[in-house]
Amino acid sequence: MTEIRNYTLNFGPQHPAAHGVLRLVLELDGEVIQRADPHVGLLHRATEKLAESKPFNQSIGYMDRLDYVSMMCNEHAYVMAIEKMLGITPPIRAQYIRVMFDEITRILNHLLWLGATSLDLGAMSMFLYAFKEREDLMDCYEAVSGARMHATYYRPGGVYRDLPDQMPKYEPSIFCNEKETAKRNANREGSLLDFITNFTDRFPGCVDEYETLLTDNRIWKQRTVDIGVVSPERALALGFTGPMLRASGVAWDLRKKQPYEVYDQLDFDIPIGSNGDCYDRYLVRVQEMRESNKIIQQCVKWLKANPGPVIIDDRKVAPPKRANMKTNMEAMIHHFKLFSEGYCVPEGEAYAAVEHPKGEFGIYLISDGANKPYRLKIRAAGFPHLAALEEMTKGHMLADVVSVLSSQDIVFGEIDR
Amino acid sequence: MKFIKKLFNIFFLTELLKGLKVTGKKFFAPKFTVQFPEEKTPTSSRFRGLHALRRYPNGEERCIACKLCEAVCPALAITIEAEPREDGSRRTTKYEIDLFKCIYCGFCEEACPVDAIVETRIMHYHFEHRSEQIMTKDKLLAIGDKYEPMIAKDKAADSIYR
Amino acid sequence: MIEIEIDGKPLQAPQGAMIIEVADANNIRIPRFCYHKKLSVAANCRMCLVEVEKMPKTVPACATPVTPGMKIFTESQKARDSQRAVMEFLLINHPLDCPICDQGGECELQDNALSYGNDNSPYRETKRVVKDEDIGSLVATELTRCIQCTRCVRFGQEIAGLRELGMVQRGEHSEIRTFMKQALKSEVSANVIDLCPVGALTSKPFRFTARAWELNQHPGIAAHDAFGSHIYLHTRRDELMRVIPKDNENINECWLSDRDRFSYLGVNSAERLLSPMIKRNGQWHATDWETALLFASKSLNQVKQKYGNNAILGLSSPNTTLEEYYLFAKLMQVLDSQDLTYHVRDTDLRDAALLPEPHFGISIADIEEQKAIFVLGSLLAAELPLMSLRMRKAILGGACIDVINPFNYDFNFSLTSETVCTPQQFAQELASIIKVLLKDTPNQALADLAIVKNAQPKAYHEAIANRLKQEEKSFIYLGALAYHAQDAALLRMLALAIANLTNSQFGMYTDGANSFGLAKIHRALSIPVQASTTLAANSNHKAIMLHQLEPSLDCANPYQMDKLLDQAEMVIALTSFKEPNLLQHADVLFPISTLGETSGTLVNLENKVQNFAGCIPPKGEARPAWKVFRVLGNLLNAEGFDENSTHEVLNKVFENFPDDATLPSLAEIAQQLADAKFQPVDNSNTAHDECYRLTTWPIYRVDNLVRRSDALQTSGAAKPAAVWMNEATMKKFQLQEGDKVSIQQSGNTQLNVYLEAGLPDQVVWVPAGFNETSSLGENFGKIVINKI
Repeated sequence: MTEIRNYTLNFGPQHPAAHGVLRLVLELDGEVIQRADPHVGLLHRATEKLAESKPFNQSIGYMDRLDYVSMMCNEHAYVMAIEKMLGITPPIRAQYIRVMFDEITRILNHLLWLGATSLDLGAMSMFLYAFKEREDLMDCYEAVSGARMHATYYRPGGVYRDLPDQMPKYEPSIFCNEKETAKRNANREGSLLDFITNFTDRFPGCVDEYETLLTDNRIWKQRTVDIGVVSPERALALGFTGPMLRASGVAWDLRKKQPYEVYDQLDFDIPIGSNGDCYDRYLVRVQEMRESNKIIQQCVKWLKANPGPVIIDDRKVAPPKRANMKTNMEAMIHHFKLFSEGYCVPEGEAYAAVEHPKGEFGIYLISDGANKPYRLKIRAAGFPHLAALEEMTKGHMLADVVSVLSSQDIVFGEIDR
Repeated sequence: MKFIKKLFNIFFLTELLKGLKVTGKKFFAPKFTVQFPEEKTPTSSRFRGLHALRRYPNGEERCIACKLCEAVCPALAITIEAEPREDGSRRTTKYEIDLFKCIYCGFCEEACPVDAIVETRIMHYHFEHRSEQIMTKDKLLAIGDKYEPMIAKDKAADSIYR
Repeated sequence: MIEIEIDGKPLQAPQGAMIIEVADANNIRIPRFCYHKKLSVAANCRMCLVEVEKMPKTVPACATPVTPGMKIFTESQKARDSQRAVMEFLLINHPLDCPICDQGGECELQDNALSYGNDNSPYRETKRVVKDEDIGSLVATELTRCIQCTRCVRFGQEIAGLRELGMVQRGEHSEIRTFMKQALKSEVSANVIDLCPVGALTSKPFRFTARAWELNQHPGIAAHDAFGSHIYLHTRRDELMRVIPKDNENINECWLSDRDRFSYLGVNSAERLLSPMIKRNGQWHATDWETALLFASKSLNQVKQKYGNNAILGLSSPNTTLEEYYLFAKLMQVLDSQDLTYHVRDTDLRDAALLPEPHFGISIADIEEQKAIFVLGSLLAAELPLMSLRMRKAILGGACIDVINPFNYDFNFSLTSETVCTPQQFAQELASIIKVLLKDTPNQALADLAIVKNAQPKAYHEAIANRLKQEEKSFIYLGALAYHAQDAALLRMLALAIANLTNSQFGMYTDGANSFGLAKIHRALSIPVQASTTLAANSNHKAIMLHQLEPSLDCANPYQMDKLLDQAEMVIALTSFKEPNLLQHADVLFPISTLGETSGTLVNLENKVQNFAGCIPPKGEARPAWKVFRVLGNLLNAEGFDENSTHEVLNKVFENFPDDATLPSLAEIAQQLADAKFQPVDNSNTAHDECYRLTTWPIYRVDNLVRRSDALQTSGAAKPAAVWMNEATMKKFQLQEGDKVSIQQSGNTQLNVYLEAGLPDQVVWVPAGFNETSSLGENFGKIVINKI
């Protein structure tokens, strides 16, 4: 008798729908998934170990590169952990700035997710529309930090610099005369906050368009409804967080459940799904973008009205102003020591988590009293989700793997670390 | 009634047509494409691009080999060697940035007590051969000399925030 | 012991201890600048202010003794406020130099400002500026940064015994100055670099080259004198950047001699030999190791075949590690030669049977406990700089010190008595002391010796004898001049007799870092102990192996050595440096590693075995010498020579490592001294136109590494190649200081004349270790001087 075996298929690590460097070993019975075995580690950069060898501040930039589509949220968890151990609280304005940029980051992340997922499932123009709006948010990143992605903007005790009062502008060119350029620059005339206001006014309309294109679309629904269903019980048991958990109907959001920064003073809602399938996850994320937009609007309003310091006035942690450093011996010494040696964090441990676009992103820090972490553990939001891939895809067709995988919003930067 | 509506939608592809209306609108809308390289997207004065070493207006190099940038560089991309110059002042004999290691975090610029090492808004550069990514002191000073007016303007614009 | 309380913690403290001492002992941190555990209390920086219960004001912890029941608060608001205020005052006049200051990163001012100071100050006025001073090639000054803690001043006064730096002016105008506008002359002057809590005094050779945080720290052992001081080697990217002391209370405390500290500069010398070289037809060619080793082994084999036993001579530097010397000795055995020695500077080893290895009867730390010390023929600070500090401590503790020296040497402490005589008279002086002692403790055998019989004791002999006898802790030290003297063995025997008669301890200077250990290898392998001069005179060696030795600079009789090398068919040199004389005579040069580049073991004068590890790769093609010996052994198809690390070699060394030799008894000494060969070398009839030559190796000319440390060569304690003589001698030869004279002793040379008032008439001091004096003959003896 001929031996009948399941067909084993390597999905990735160079697959365009693998969202990075995922190697997924699929065992197929015909076209039905019997087993899905994700192999991780292809993007391992030893971030945790690297952080143990550097003064605390120097690892902020490496946090950006964990989940490289929601950069500032990663930084946020890291600086919060340090702040917890140092026992410092950033000025209120810094907290608003952080919340605002966390939400900008959430929209950035969800837009990328939306674009990439719809591209995976066959909707090309969504990708372009989503990326167009992302450009403006990247401009916000650049205006405030100088980098479009890896901002290195949050610092223990606040943020590096205040928001700029001016936005860079387009220059006229042979393709674009003065008048047209002025039109292009219409939203860039004011400060960064004005620029963001312009965006938040416009953005709900954009989301409406996305929904018009997708929400009722029969192809979209056929590819997502009842695919990868996870019950609330299983979602909790599997360690799901973020939209993945909420889509299964569990109203869990760190911004509400254990509010950090100024989230408790802001008005927003937590969208939840009912079926826990790919379609619900889509709906939850789209709704989250609308909620984020609301939060950003509230932050902009507050920030416009309340100028103030954006980093704590403690030279043992935060460097002095440059002008002061150049004229004052105390400031000079503190500047020198902070940049060469950093600060020592008291012995102890801390866990700080933020509601990251992908779920709960946490940093667990142990300090032995030195100027660098004794141990840094990253709780990557995507890791438990990826671990549940087999459960979610078992019994589905091969093509549904793509739907499930993209609905998980996997980014290997954080999973492999 | 609901059922009829659903049947209507199924047979007349309403949601698909609505979607096509959106894409159609975008199709005829004015284009927002930026015609690179003739046109460039605006760049913030805070932009962290290619590095440069600056000089004082009298031509003296600013860098005093304090090595704070080397110490703070998370990627260990900066290598400095120093010794007393003939006039007794502290100067570098070697200042190298490996752009393959650099993560453009801007810490070097933050650390510099004399505004010598800066990250400029230059981002369109490339290498054609191995080892060209090592920016030597001469190369960095040359960039600084060439773009000094722009650098000075950018740094002045940002100085109130730092 | 009394009970006190610091920060609520009950503690036991010795009566009379200062608060800061108790706090330090219990790991309670109190900031300080002027306080240093090895220096006197100055209490002038006020940084260590702490709150004491029932005292109205905060008090300096360094100058307040503890009292029973005292309650001290180092972190109370009051204490913190005081410390913050002091810090603010200290920073008022401190320049904003951190970025260009070498101390940045290891600066006590920075650390304390960070931990105990404000982070801002309202001070906006102009800061004070202090003019700088050039104090030599070792220590760089930036006196504006000085915070007037006076640690450097107190170091000079209390530890080094040479007041070189002092505080002038008062109040805001007070400044640290050298009184005479001169370079620091002390052999331990660079310790002020470690002492200075700020960047006012920094290392000049290290200036601006590296930051503290770039350096990797490796423990090591200093290899220039028999102290075996503990050091830290600081490396960066496989380069040796600097050397600093490692605390060891039993050896170097927290100090380090300038020689040990700055010898590392020689490692990167331009003269470094970077690849093996072979001489063909008088031309040097760089080659690879294989060729050079094959060439050397083949030549050695040929010489062995052709000339038989003892045709090959091995000469090694006394700084060699146990492992290297052991393999060298094994190799010499393979080559059927017994002629191996590290005794390149001392010439008299007649006592080898009785005293097979050098002796130092007390531990280093015990030196300062001694109550009576007798020193014969020593330029103490130039031989063992840190021993000078220890002896100084003994003197400050009330000890008497009597010195018999060939000239009035400027010790860093006051002497009880000082006698000047030529080295020929040393034996007679010792015999006189013996004669005095024999009055109380008769010993016929000693009394019968001609030298004792002829002795005519004077009052100071009696005083010395009495002091040595009366004090329970007494110590006799024979210095380098006695060790290198022509009748050194006789001096040792006589000194041992005195030690025996007075119940004193006996200790001697030895050359290099490992004479104590190498002697044990000779014993373990039963290799006869012979001086290089004896070997050179008695035999006809056809092949010579030199290990880390520059014969014209390192040997007792460079003229004789020159002749020896000339007649040899094959000279193989393992050396780290290309030296002109070596290039002239050698046929093969093997580049070998030096300080920091290899691991090994040294034995110091306490017979303490100390290992060190390599921390940087050898420069160029250089390799550790033990590997070279091992491969030569392999190429000669010898048994053994299969060790893979110095550790394995050391295990072999230890398999048969002899215990410390026992000292001979009085009877043995007397018997030995009665032997005809133990008569003093008579050299006393100096003709009218002749002088008697006295030789020492100046402190910075003792080995090939030190000689290549440029900073040391130009430092205040360095001596030039010259002829020193007293005024009377100058007059006699119608000379004036600075004149050039021609000197004849075997060979010829021309040197400048310098004045050294302390020398006896017709005795001239011509140092060795210089190219200028490498054509001369014996260390001690007649020399002809002619004015040019």
